[in-house]
Amino acid sequence: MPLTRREVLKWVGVTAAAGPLLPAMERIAHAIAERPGAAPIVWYNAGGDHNNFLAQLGHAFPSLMESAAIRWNLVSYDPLVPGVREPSPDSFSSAPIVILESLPPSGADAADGGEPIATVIGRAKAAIFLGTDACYGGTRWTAAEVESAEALCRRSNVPMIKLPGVPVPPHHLIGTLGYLEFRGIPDLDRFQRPQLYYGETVCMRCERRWQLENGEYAESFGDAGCLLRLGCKGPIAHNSCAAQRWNGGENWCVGAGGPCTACSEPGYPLHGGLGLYGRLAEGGPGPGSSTLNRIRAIGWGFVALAAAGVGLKLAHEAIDPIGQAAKASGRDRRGSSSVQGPT
Amino acid sequence: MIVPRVEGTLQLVQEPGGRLRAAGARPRGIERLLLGRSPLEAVYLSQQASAHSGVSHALAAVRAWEDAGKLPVAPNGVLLRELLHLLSFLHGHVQHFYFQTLPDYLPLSAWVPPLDENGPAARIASGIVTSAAKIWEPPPFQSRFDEGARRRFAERTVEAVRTLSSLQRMMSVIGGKFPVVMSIAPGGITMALDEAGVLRLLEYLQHLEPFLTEAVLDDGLSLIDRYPETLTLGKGGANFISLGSTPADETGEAGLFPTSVLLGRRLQGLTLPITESIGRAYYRVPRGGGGHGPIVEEALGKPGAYSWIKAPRVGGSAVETGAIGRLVITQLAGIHGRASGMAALVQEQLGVPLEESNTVAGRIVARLGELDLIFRRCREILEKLAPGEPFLDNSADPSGLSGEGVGQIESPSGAVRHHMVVEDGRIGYYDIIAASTWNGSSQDENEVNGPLDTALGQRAWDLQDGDDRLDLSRIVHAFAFSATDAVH
Repeated sequence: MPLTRREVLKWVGVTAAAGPLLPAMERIAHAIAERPGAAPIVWYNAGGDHNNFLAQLGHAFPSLMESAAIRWNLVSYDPLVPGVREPSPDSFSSAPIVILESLPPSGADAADGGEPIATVIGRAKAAIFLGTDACYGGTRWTAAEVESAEALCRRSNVPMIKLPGVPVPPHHLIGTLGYLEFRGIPDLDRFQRPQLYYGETVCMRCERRWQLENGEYAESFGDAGCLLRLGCKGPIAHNSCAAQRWNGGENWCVGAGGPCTACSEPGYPLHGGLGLYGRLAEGGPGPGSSTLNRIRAIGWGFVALAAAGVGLKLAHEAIDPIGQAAKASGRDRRGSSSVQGPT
Repeated sequence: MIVPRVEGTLQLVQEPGGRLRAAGARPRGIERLLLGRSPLEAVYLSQQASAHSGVSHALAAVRAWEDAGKLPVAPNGVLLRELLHLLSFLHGHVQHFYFQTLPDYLPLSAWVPPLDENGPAARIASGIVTSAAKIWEPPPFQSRFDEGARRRFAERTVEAVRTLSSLQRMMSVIGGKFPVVMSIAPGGITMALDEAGVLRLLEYLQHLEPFLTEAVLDDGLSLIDRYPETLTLGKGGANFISLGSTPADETGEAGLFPTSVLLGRRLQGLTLPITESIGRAYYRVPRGGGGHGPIVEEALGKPGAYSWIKAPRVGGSAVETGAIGRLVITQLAGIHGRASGMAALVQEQLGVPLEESNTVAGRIVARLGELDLIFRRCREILEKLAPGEPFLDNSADPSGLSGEGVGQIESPSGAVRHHMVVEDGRIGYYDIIAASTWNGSSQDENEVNGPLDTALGQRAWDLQDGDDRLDLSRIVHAFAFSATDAVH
């Protein structure tokens, strides 16, 4: 029996609050699949790794892959791959939702007379940037390439939604698609992430938060305690991992003793020079809330730069993570590679 | 031609005369990204080279660090790492067969949904095929399977998806999440697995047993039965490499996979130098560079270059790696009897001596045949694990370390090697040789061809011909090739 719009939104809310519950996922997915005139979905991954694909494939039944039934016209194409059916204006009855796991090449022509992804984006109902690489550059794209993709969307008034993560928690995608289909664009934060999934920091919901408050820190890997001194970026990482965990709720990074690397933040992986495991702060004995206040005082999403355990001395001042880290990403990511054109 | 259904972009370039060579595509540049960073970041970031080999890269990275500092690893941690590692093999092999290999033989248009045609299973089968296979669909072609077989493959693919889901959950129990596991650190595993966790893993494993130990190999054999040309298609060279699983434990019992090379029909330990040529690859050593080996710069347009994949060599020889390499070396070394059943199976199916079985069929059978072996070892490990004992030995503090280390291990598609130099706790040099680098290797300056190039060099190809393109796809996929892994 088809769900009403209200019921679907309720289930989307459930997924945001309580995790990737099987019934919630199933209902959303089937509701979208059964909805007449549902927006076709184009998933664009050109030459990237399979991290997001595997995450979707193995997601709690039914996953996006299983329920991406005939209605969804899910096509992933690369203009360079001959033989794959290209989306064309005729194959979409309505504006598509484009999932960009790779950034579109500038000026690419589609193979076999199909439609270049840039044109498809221009007609899209919404563009979802999937994964930290596509959202903010990460380890794969430069800041200029990200800006170019954003400009492409803005030029045609295509709303942008960013779902970062390495990989993205798979239920973020299905929940966002459900929201898009039944309501519209969800509330986004300043980095275009849905508040539904990225509205809280990992630290806020972490099961080890009480140890931070009590000043009990793990000094070495494998020790019990808050992982702040091992470089945990939970205080600045906006994501659902602590509340909703991973792989059907089995476990998550900190739960397994692995510090959060803030893989969903624009500054990933350089984080203003701290890197993945440089410390945000030393913490201290006694109530840990002063530690968090210090980090927070420098600003939401900012990195507290102190003499971290990695031998770097950086200024103890507020920095803008967008500008600074994105520029650092763009400049440093490819090192000094000099790509020469054909001679 | 770009080969579909390969992680990343694998471009094949054609020489005048019709010979094809693997060229790959531009790398992400992980080795360069790691310079100046903590070795722990190598454990994490190298997993972005390939989703399928990620766990193996993380283990190779941490072992390079442990080698550099002679850091101790908790025995319980060795076991738990091995379990996590082997689970990634079960996952990789199942995913690869149903989503990357099978579509070369059974096109989307020929799928027959399971018998409850309007029920959830049918919709799911259609959905999986429509979504996942559409990503990589070749042009329509005639499949040789009858309707019953096609229905069975559909059912098995649905079960494969559920199996992958369970395996990912198991890896999450140990690693925090999958893909990109988070609990590998110097000294062991950071996850404090308790008795309940062990029981949970055993329970998952029990449910997966019939599918993993019987059904998948069954599907592979029926595929080869229908397509006997795969018995001779894509024949590779005569040299192989395998870089082991975990170190031998205190009882001296060797890990599941051997660490050895087979060169000129002789088994050897790894005493010969391992080098990486960039003679015909789009790289150059920057001015002032060199030292431990090339940290290279991209050099698009370099004369004579055609590929983004470097050319790793052992004593100057190209070596094939993967499940077939592990099997051949294990058998010829007479290391242990566990694999002898599988070796006998391969030889019986293929009808050739084992060391000549590296064809499309041989590679597929070796990979799927290994599932049973790996499954039994996983169960063994779960019985040996001691949840009360520590999983990580943090008695040594590696933070200011200076040294040089090598971490090597098998991944589902073959040997992985990380070579690191660390200076005061920061990476001064990093080189990764991934399984697909060995296999997809470009030609070196002595005109020695890599394994995939050798397999492609069987004949000239017509890229306009649909059947030729299918055969090329079949050859590449038999290697479980990943283009992002090859160039990282």
